[in-house]
Amino acid sequence: MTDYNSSALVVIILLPAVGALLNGLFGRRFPRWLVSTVGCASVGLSFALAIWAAYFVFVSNGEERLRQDVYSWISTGGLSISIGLTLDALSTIMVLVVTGVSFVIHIYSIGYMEGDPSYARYFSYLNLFVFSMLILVLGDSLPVLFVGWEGVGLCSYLLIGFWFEDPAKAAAGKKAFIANRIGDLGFLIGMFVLFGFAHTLSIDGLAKAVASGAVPTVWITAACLLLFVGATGKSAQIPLYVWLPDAMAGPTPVSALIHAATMVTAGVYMVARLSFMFALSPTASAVVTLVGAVTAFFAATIGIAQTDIKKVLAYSTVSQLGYMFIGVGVGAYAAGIFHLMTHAFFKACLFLGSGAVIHALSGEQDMMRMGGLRRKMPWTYWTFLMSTLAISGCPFFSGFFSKDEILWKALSTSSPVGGWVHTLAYGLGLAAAAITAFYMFRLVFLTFHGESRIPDGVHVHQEKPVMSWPLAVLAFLAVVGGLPGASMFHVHWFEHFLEPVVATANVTQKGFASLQSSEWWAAGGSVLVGLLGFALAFNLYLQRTSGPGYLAARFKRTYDLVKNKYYVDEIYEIFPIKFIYYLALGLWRIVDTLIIDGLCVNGPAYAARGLGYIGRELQSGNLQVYAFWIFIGFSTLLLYLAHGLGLI
Amino acid sequence: MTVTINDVVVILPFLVASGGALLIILLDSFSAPRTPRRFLGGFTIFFLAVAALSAYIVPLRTESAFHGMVMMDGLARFLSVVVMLSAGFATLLAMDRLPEQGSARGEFYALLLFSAAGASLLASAADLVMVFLGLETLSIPAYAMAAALRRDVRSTEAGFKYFVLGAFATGFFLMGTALVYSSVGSTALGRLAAASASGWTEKPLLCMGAVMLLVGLAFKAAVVPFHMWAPDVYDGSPTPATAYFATGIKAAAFAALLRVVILSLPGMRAEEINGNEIGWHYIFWGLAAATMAVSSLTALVQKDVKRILAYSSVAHVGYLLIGLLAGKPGGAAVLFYLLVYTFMTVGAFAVVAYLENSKGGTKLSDYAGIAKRHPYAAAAMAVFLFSLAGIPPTGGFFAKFYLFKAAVQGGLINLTVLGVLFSVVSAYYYLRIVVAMYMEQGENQAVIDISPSAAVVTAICLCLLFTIIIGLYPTPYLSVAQASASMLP
Repeated sequence: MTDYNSSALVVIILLPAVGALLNGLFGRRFPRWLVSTVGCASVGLSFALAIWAAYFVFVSNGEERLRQDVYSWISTGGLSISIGLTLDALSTIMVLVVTGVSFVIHIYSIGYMEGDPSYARYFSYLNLFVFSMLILVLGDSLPVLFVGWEGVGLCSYLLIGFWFEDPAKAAAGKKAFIANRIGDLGFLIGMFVLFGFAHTLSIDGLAKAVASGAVPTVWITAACLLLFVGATGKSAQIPLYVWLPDAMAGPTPVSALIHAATMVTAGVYMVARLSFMFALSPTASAVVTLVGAVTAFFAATIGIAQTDIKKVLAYSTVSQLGYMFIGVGVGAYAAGIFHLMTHAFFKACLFLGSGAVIHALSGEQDMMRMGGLRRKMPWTYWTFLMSTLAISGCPFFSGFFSKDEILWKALSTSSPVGGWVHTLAYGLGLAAAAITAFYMFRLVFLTFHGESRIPDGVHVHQEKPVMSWPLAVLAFLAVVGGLPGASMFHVHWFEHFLEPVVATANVTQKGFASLQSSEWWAAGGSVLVGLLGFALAFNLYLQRTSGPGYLAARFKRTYDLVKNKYYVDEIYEIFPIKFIYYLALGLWRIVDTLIIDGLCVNGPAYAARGLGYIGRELQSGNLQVYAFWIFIGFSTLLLYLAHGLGLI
Repeated sequence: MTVTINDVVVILPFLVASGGALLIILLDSFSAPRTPRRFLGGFTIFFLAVAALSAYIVPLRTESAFHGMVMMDGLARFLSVVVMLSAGFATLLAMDRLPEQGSARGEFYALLLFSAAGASLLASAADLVMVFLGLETLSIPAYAMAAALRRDVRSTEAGFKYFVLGAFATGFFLMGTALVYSSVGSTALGRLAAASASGWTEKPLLCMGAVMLLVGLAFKAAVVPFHMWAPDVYDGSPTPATAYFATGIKAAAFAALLRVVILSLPGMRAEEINGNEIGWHYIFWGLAAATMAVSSLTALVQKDVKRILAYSSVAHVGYLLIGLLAGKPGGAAVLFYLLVYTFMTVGAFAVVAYLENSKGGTKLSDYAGIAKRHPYAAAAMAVFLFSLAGIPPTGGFFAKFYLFKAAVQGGLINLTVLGVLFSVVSAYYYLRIVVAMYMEQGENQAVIDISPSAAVVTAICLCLLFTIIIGLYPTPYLSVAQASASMLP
């Protein structure tokens, strides 16, 4: 791997920061057109520069990196943290996805947020988010990555609670923040463990230390698992996924950008970035695989029974993130990142499409009050349909290639922990694929097909061009975005491009893995289950529209269980939330108020204040007294010395 | 005795600053009485900048000059620049502030330049006589600056108090010089070092003289219990002068402490006689602890922002004293601290001046709800206060961090613990200002808002910039400080 210095990297990062500062400080005085120009242009320029920088990495097929040492942040004793940026193959993909998708969504936001009074605040936060996300993906050490990691968390919190006047939305923001904090604790401890053994936190340094065996295997596993706890928070996996569905309280473009395309994939990116560690720990990899697989399946089932259009997409995101973790868990790091990219395209498009629908219906999100929108919103419908086909795994659409790559790797390899791990993951992934096709087409049919269930008096607005074009761009990418990795047609470009930066996993290839035909068979299986899901949705929601109601009544218990999201929020409400609440209440009443506040805090505080009053009294303003104190001080010093010397 | 080029070059900062002061007096006298004196501020800043640059860029043949009376080493260079910075910021504040209060004469600028020249001389002194000369050149203009607002009772009172007590302390210093001379037979700092290296416990006159020298310098640095003048003087003086006293004079006083006590009397560091431990180490230990304790605790009950900042500046002296004990890394940390401290303290006083210009008072109650009326000033003030409290990512954090780190490495665990504890106490009085600004409702909502002047805004912005930049990227400043402290033992 060859390194080249480039100062372009910091400019890529700083452009959105400048935009955020301008809009944050002066946005209220700017006219709207200037706010949108600053907001979009900063990200647009950043994207353009990223393409230019990425070109160097592309022509070298990922063999070269751009590096920039911005400065040495802290250097003290054994700890030295320098702010360095690296653009290697992996971060190239991430930077292009982040800046590109952000740019499109920024433009879409001009239309979506048009009437909002906090227009400038919105763009300022959005730019700040891009800034943090770029730090995350370009940082060349864990602390820098963590700065970005926390930064995107903060922006996510600010944007979920963007309309903080509504207490429910403010609470959703808080929930996201707390769930992420729990994960971050794991991440931090993981970093401490690594630092304790490797004495460095730079990615290259860690790679060297791990390769040289400085970190015992059991501690690698521990660190990986702790870091993965952070990933379950940020990337909404079991058990910390609960914040993501609530995060839909934010403006829809935010859901598209932060809670679908970019921020939530940070956990996947982190695992791929640290693949050299995860590859050495079969246990940690197996945990990642299983958590991903269970989440993929579990979240998909919840998606079946939701009626809020954004909630369906939210659970779908959780489920798709599960796929990505299967990918990086079974050692197919490139496949995980590949799915991350295609998912960014089609899910952003789906969210923006749902945003267009919500916008057109003046804020309606319940699919039961939609229907028949196909003719009124053709742009939205067609782009939405393209992306639905992509996520459902329709052949030759982007999602087909990326999802299949993951499932194929899961099927064709075997983990050292046990053969069942990857097989189970494959099974759950396949089932989730069927369910995905079902709930996505359910969504399409309920929203765009059939009779209109829109209440009278609601006027359907036409979508504006500024919102339609982003949809078209994303839909186009959703269709063709899978071609760089169309492995069943012998296109392995994506995998080869990432090869220099990701590790080779410790898995065994199964016997049939080398046969080209077996990959075709596997793909055929995925298509088949996808068709099954589609057919069921078609049957239930277009042909026999009484069917869903009948089934819901027939299997009432199951239906309620799924509709209420398996009561996970309620269970969490009892344990740990209520439990911790009462524990905290007790601690507060007894330990804090009585002992700490009373004895330990207020006691010294009152004592300090009392001493302060004495000090103030001594400060009488009287010149002679001051001179006297100088004399006292001098005499004391003199007496001390004289005594010490034995003179008195 | 002939004066060589090298002699002139060594004291170039002093010459530039005092020459500038003379020129300003002339310009002032020959300008029409009604001409605003603001342009003199521009001249002042120019001379300060040239003086600061001349300390660094002119090559020297030898560091020492005038037969070993002065020397331009790293310490002198670094602290000269800090003093010039401080004086430059004070000029910026004065350009805006003083004409308003009927003190439109240009003498303030001349006094400032003279004082800065004295500070530079003090920083490069290599002989007790030169230390004394620098000390007086530094102080006498300062007394007049404190009393610059002739019609303001508090300002004249401040000037008078500062003068009388300053004279008292100078008496100690002179007496100390005499006693040291009688014991050693020389006033050259180099000779003192040799004399104190061995057998100092047998020389009571040297001991007594050294203590008197210490008292004289401790007064200038506002070390408890020689600090009593500081709150009254800082409070009563015009804010630009206060900003300079609290930073520039303090830096000069630490230069003298480093030169006279740490560098010249290293032998007296610590000795055990008849089971009694005596020496600078223990004296500074006690002074640092007393300074931190008294100033932090008294600051808790103050009701005036300027007074809180005055006590805060005394508290920072306490932290700095810890650094004096910690050898070479401690010395570097002290220099770095003084630099950062200058930015954040001047910045805080600049905001005070800015709000005074808007016809606001300096009482804590006058600051209630300021954030609504002056959002930018309040935000800047908050950053300075956070920095003073030592909260990252501001420069104040790294200043404290490196200082305490050096102290721990130097084995001063107990003193470091005390320092950290009193930093916690200090957070209370700093944050109280932030709370007043942001969370309390102001009674006096109808404050007349005059348009902010470019000079004060420039000062605030520069201080803010450096406070934050040093917080994000301390390494280059620290390495300059380390290089400058390389001659310390």
